[in-house]
Amino acid sequence: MLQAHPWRRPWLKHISSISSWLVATSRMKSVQNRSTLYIQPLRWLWLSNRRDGSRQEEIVCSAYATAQYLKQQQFSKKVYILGASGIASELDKVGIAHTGVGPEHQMGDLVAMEKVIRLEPDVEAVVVGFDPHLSFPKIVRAVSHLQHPDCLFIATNTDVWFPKGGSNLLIPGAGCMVSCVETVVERPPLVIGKPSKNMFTLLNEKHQLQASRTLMIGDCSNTDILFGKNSNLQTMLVLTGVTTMEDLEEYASSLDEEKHKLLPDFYLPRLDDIINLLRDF
Amino acid sequence: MTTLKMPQMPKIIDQTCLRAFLNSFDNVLTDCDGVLWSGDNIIGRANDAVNKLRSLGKKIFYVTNNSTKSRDEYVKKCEKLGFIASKEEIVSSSFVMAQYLKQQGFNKKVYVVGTSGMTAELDNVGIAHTDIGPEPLTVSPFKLPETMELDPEVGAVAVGFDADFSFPKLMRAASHLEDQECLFIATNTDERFPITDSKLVFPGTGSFVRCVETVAERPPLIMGKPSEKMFTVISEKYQLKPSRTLMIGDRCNTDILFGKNCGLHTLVVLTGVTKKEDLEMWSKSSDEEKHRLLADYCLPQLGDLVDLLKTLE
Repeated sequence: MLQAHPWRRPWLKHISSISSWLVATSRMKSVQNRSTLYIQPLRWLWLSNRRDGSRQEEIVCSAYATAQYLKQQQFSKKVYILGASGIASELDKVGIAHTGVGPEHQMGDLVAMEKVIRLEPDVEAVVVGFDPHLSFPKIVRAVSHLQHPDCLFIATNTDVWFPKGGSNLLIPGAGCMVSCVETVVERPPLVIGKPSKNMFTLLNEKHQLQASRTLMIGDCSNTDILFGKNSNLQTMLVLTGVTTMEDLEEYASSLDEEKHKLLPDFYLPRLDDIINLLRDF
Repeated sequence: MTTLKMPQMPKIIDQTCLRAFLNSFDNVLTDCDGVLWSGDNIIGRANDAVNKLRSLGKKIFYVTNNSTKSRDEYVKKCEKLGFIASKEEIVSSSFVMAQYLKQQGFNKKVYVVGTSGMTAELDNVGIAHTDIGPEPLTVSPFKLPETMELDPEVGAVAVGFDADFSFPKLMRAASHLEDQECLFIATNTDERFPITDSKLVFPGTGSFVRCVETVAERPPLIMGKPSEKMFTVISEKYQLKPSRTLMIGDRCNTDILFGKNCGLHTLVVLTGVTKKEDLEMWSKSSDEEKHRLLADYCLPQLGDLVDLLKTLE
């Protein structure tokens, strides 16, 4: 019999447990879906035992995970990037050739384009991520390369939009660029970022983390929390971003068990609420 | 035990079934790209075939999902390629969009992601709209919320084919659609723009529509095939009976499905998207949804009707 999820709102009750994990594990990793270089400073880093702040090996972004995936697959051809400089620089670091990033403007009509656009040879993978320079010619290149069934179709992530931060304007995310391409090529991409497990697998290989002793903190249920559930981690949602309390109530009262997977184990209104809680601890 | 009903392959029109075929319809709705023309080039003797059907007393309508031209521009194209056509016989997705908004009593502004094919039809019914054309990215995308101003009069977002599609345009569309009262309209959702004999693949309107739909997190109202709206608009005006109407198309998941949705007879021609192998694959499939893509009749090309019709004379 389908039932609503008996989800409560445990936060004060369990916060002592969380803090022990946070202090005990002493290794905070920053796991981000953003494939761009627009990384915001993370306020929780002060909790890390590393007094000198974060180090590069503590950051796992989807661009890095994508490059690592291709390296593990021993990919030796060229990548067409419909994305930003984060992807390009991570591919450079692992020595994989790519077509570069940046604008490519529409020139003339389709007949003119058809004559002018020459596809780069040796491209056997298309990586799609957040691309503020999205344009028609770039989509043409991506979908034309993907005509060949052996050409890999990879998405860094499928986040739909960035947290708004008080603006009435919505900043579309990588998920939009991916659906542009996916609609035309009619096959799904391999998605590297959350909620897929790939990024935890990468972290685990390098740092030997115990899933049951790891906490995933995020603001978006259908990427961060689902990633945590998929990787068997503990999960905590903060309400300062995408997912709201109303969303959580909706998931809890839904009869769809897939919605129940979006419910975190814990939540906090804001991440820095932890500061006061830890003082009392 | 229920036995699976095996679907029939479309019947090739030949002399044996020609009379029955001709007697089954009074009206013809014909798709354009891939049936009558490819780009600016006529396909075989498609013009003679359509004109001949007209001379036999059939009512002709040109039905197209392509939103890039106004009806006046389509009439010019028809005349240039030798098709007899008048403005009232053109049913384009842009025209249907404008008619739909007019029927709804829409009195705000439309944010158009598309071409003059759409704005000309909105002008024809006196509905206000934003300007079309490029809007390239000139600042960091994360600075755009500070500089971008939304037009407060916008009450609908209409997405059609737009080769000037860009991130700022996507952001405007998505931001307007945050208001749940704002209508979300798509002229059509064809995945690829019809261009044959090219090494390149061109995204269709569907690419832009699904892009906006992803961030809007709600589906659009679709004007073009396979939605029945196109038929509703003309059948109301001309009292067309579905059982006496033939739909001719080249793309089964839009044209033929549209025909089936509206209860029309259907003819697929193989000069466009659908190939004989596709028909064979669908007829062998156990998925009943695939069976809906099978037309009643089939011809290698529409121009084949010309010689067939001569045999009756």
